[in-house]
Amino acid sequence: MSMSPPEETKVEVDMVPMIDIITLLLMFLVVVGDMAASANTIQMKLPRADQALTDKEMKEKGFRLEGRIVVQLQPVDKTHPEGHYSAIINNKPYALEVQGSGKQLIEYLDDQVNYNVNKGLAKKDSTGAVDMPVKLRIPEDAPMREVERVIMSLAKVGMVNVHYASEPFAKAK
Amino acid sequence: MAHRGGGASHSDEGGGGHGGNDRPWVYFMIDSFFLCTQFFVVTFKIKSDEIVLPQRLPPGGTAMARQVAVDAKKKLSVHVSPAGAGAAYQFMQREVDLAGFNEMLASSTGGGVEYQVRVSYEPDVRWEHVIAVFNACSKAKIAECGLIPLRGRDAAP
Repeated sequence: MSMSPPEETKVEVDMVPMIDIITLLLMFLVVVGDMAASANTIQMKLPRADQALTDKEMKEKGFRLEGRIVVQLQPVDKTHPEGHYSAIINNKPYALEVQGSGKQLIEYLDDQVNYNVNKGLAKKDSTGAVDMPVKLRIPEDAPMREVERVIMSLAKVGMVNVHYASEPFAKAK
Repeated sequence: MAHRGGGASHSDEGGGGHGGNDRPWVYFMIDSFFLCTQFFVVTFKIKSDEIVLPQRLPPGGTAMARQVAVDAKKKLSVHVSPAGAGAAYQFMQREVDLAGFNEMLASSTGGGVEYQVRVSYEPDVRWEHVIAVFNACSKAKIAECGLIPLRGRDAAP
């Protein structure tokens, strides 16, 4: 009776399903991550400005970007003859004028200014100007009667450091 | 997707056989290549970064107290009104288009630092036509460019 050693079985990892799964997972994360990143940004057609700067250029030129509030203007009632807009901040709508029981933009901005000044995160000078930057995302076709309400609200609470969002434009040489 | 199953051995097909395995390495490569391509096709986007035009508003909205601070500067007024699909700019007693306004502003202000531009507008003027004035001011190195609020029925509350 001969005793033969048991045959060695080769254990191999099949790479293909692993590659498939990892790539699909990666695709899922990238797509979902991209959607999550743009969830706070309303899709709109911005005006073009060839003098506009990127955030990097702004930092290099000494503009303050820390604590910047992003205010977006969005139409809420397109059927209205004069077109009603509301301001969106962190996905929450704020009325541009006294309207129902909703919070007004100016009240929100005033609260923010007071909070930041009290916490020492922003300074208010003798003219009432606060060094808190605000980025305004306004669609290019928004009528000035609506835009003015946002800008006036900002100026009234002293938020004078305004960055108007725009689309890149071929720079003039 | 590359062929996966099958019992036939492809190890001698010149595709980088794997010895005892049924599937040559080239199949793994094809699979990976297709998945990578799929990934890049799905995630590729022509995207331009958003940029901003910085401006400084006169604080206090329509408060008259600001007048004291700005009196030292030479004031230039421009009125924007709708004209068909575009806008007309009334500047220095002339009505011009945006290109004309850009030229006039650049030629009349020179360095620009001692100037202040005040922009008035009709209620129906589109935002893009007003920001074009801010852009022109930036180009002409005029830092102070403010809005004259609407009066009457269209005035902000």
